Amino acid sequence: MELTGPRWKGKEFADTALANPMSEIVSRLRTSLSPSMPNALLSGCTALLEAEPDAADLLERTSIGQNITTFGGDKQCFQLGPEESFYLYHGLACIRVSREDGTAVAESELWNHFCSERKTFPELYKAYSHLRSKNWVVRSGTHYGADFVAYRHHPALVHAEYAVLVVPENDGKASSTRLSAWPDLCCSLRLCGSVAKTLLILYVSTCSGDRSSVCSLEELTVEERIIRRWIPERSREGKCLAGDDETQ
Amino acid sequence: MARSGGRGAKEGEEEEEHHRNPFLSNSINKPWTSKTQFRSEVSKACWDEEMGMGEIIEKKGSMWATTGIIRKGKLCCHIEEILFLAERGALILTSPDGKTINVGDIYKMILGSKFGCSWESFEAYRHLKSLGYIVQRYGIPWTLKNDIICCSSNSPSENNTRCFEISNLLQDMQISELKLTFKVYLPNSKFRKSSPGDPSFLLCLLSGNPPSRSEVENLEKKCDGLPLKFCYIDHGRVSFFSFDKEPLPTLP
Repeated sequence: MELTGPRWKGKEFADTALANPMSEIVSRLRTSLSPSMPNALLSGCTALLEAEPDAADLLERTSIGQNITTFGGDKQCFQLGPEESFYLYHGLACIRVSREDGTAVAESELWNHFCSERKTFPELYKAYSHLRSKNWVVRSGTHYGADFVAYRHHPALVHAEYAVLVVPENDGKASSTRLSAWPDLCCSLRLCGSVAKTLLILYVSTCSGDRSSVCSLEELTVEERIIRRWIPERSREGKCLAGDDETQ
Repeated sequence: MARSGGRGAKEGEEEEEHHRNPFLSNSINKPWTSKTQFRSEVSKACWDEEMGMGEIIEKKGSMWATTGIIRKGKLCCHIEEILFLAERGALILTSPDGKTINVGDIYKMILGSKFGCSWESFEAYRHLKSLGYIVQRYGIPWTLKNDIICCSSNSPSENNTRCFEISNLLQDMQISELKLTFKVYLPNSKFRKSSPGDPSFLLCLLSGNPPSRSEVENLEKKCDGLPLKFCYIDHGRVSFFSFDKEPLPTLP
């Protein structure tokens, strides 16, 4: 089975997506939140953000966070992961972050906090913001055995196209053992194939080796590569030489 | 959300998160509709800051047979039990002066991990409770009839729940050592706090990386033969694993 292009979940959803470019929605989200700079409460890897109705609607449309509100009321409560929190805080600069006791968390503190929770946070965040800057919708991919899953538009409209693995590199050499053994690589490839996604590797590199501060984000580079299995038995017609996602 | 069998696109579609479509024209400015049904039986609890628990002052509904613990003859609840019920509209929490503490503020209480329950612990608790399991904190007795309990403290008048919790904490107090969080019983309409029996399994919460073999082994020693399960929470998705030792049979 050839998996080309997005798989929309409904007949008119491709048009809906076309009529609502993600870049515009993200822009509107930033415009909506920046004046008030609402406060997100930090605890471990999670941040909770209370949002007014307009902002809540835009958070839903950009598929950032998870709406955990169970009750009626003016404000809605969103649960944010580390990349999402930092994206709203640093990438879009439209929220503040504090601890539950009310003390504000400064940018460097927030950075260090997430780095202490996850060693590869700099690379994970760089990958997340890289994909978001290209207007892809990015969600956690742990359940699929990947770091992220990337959608062409809102997950309610389209199936995820890519399972994303982030491979940190330092000065051209992998600084993790991920994908360094064949069983691991084949495992990732097969898993992605069975959930109908293409395996996208984001190699995130630093030359200087410095990943200690937010400023080092600017120096990280991202290279996108796609790993596919090519099945020669299926390609003899010449229709597809580029690759064929294995869906055995 | 385990699915077995299935191939190709169909399995992928089943496994994906469910997403509400915010682009439907009638969902714009739609007033939020509660996920829960209107409840006519609402219990009331009053928060006791010193105890770090809520005392149930109005008991409604049948869930109290499996929720809360008995202390000095009173029914008390931990913060996660309160939040679970409050989220569903089954409980209202008030401060000692009678003011209602709303769900948003209860979230903040949990975020601080001040009352022995982290946000992740709450998510694990909620997930299992929603499925009907009976869940209580590990190491906390269901009932304590009187104040006299084996306690290493010199002061017998100390609040014994606190004492018990503190001594458990001290036992487990090694940095980044995994510990047992909950004891879990299968759904049981005949459950009695006075004789609960052994839990079906003990639960350890994981964050960060999967446990190493030696970490699993150390925890198993504390389990006293009871089954051990691990809970991993990622971006709100709760998953359970076991790492049981199972020697393979020798074949003929």
